Amino acid sequence: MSFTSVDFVLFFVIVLAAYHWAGRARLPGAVQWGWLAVTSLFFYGYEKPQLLLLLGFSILFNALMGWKIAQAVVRQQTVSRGLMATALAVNLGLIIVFKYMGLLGQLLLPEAAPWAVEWKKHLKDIPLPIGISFYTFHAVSFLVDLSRAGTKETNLRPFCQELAGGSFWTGFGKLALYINFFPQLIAGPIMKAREFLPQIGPKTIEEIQWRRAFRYLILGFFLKLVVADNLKEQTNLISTDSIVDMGKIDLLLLLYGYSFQIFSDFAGYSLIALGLAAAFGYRLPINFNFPYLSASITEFWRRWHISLSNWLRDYLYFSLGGNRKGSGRTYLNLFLVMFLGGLWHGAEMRYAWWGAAHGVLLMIERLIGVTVDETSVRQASIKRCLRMLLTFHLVSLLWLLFIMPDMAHVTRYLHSLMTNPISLNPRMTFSICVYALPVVLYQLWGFFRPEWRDRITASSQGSRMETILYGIMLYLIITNPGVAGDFIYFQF
Amino acid sequence: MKHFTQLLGKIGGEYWIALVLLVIHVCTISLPGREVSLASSNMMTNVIRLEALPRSPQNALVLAGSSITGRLYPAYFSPNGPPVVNVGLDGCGVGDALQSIVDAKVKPSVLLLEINTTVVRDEKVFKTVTDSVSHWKIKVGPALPFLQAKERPVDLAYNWLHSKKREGTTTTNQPLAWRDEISAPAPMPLPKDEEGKIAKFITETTDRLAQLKQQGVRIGFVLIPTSFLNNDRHDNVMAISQQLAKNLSLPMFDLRHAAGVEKLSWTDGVHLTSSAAKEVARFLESDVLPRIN
Repeated sequence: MSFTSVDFVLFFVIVLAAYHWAGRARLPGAVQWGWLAVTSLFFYGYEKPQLLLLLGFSILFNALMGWKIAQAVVRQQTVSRGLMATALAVNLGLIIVFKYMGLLGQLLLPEAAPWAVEWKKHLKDIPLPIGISFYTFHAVSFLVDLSRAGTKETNLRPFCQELAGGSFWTGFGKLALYINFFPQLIAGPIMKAREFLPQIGPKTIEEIQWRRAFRYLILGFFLKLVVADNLKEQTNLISTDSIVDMGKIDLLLLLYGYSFQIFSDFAGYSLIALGLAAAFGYRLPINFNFPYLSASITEFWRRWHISLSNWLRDYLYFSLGGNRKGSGRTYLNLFLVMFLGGLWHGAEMRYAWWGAAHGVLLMIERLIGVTVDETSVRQASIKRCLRMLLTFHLVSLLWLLFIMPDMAHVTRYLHSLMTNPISLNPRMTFSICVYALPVVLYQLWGFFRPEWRDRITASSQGSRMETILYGIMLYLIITNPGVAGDFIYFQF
Repeated sequence: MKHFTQLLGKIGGEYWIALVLLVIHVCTISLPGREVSLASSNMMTNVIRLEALPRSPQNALVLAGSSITGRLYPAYFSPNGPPVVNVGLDGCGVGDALQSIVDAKVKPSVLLLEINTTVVRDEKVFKTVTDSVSHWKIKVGPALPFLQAKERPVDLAYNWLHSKKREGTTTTNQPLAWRDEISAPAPMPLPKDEEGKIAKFITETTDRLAQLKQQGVRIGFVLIPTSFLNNDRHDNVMAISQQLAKNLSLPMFDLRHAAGVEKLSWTDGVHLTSSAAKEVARFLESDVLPRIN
């Protein structure tokens, strides 16, 4: 069920009304969050109920593993390495089977043998369950955070006691909600278990920050329906053969347009998820923090898809040794994390190249001593502006690897960019400029220090201006949406 | 109700602002004399054109085809002639446009089918277009006009800018003139058809055209001049169209043979400039239309 469909609007209204009715009727908290867990399953299985089998297996398996881990934590014993290895292997095994077997078959099976051709086809045909990358990461976070509940993640101790101490089904239900909470089930933000599980409990309608929730929704839907879906009508051309006949400026505009489109599409989804969760009284982490203001690739990854970067840092980079095992190992770890992060986006070599390219750039930045200095982030000096422009262009060029069907197409694009004449398609220029403008203005808003932004929005004039802007966005959502399309990150 | 109003109060004033803007928008789009035929994107232009088709009058002249036909805006035709509906779909071919006319409840009086473009349909593009047209927003469009694709504020602005540009252009100095070769193009052999796609297309299209003919629609084929004359693609499309015309005894007009065609101009070699499109529109109305029975 897509957030932009009528079915979803009906679903959301019914689920929300019943949820808050349960709160007002002072029914036990478990009724409220249990209702959310069950309706989230309905949301996930609405179009393809068979997908629930895999999700159900994941929840049940992780609940059982969690139960064993929680028992060890409650008894203050060390969690068995074998148990953790089995639990993680099954979770990663699921994602490997359903997401990467096709790619592995292409890479590892011999070219010519007829049996190999047959197998490659079968492996390629394994269907990709929507959202598997996201809920598997939730499951891994659950297992790791739970195993650390005795030492680091102490806020999970009450949950451990619940799971191990006779309320298994309550713990099971909470885990089910954590893994399949519908606002973030398909495309994040990726929540850590230690952040989400302690939030589960009864919520009253009075404690909901409605204005905040609806503003997240307005901004999210505006970025998706008005900006991303309209930009898509032009940027679709970038992956077609018509690029060879286009002028330099048109090609550049398409590249910038795609950068703004992917930001609007994904940031829009994340904001909608934040708004939906807020309407139920849950806080999800901010996933984007003005990423195109980054002055380095290192900084970019602290501002773009923040929940994924944090997940990769906490559960992969640190597990590989982070920067504690010498400089050589640090570079290798950086590269590996970005390479695997690239592959996480899709089982195709273009995503691996994209991740690897980001990994190499991070290594270079570390080598030449580029750091993210919090004070310089807030200074709009000429040097920083130039570095921002360079970073934006690097990131945009690397999106080519992300969207182009193959490397030959990337080469064709770059060749056309270098050799084609300078010309401009007025309609494309008009469209990209008009729809990219809100993204540019939004990024410019990020130039202000957070405390200034707060001060401006808290003042009566600023507050009035904010209300007008949200009103205009709502008006454009109604009157000026693009041709409806799926969210880009749904495919991951 | 009390809780609902309290909730609205908590949500904020943006809803009132959106409502005020919506009222202004509805008043603006109710003003007479506007014609929106071009959006800021190809896909939205297609949606606008297909959206208009079910509401076209019964005595309409429908121009169907690809983006080449799309340039022949209704405003270029005489206001005294029959109302013109343009179903020139960007990125689509003659088969797609024809399908949309077959599906329409109200049939036109005359159908001019452009035969410049490929006969093989791009199913993906056409599906996106038809999905958009069958979207609930389009269905409730007649009741809530501000939800229609042609009333999107950005497209209204683009269309206004574009119409200013169009108004400034005049027709070419040397008008097109009729020559008998226009209605007697040289016969072409059918291209090789190893996969049977062309035969399938001819059978399907013959059925669709026969259905329209039975419903009283007068049909004519038109090849609009482009700067790439006599290339293979034209020859193939010509041959297939000749077969279709023969099957149903339909008239066929190859405007490449019109006198004065060399004075026309194109923006990219294929799509007519405003002045050339105005001239072709005038020629279609004055010389081609009377010859379609």
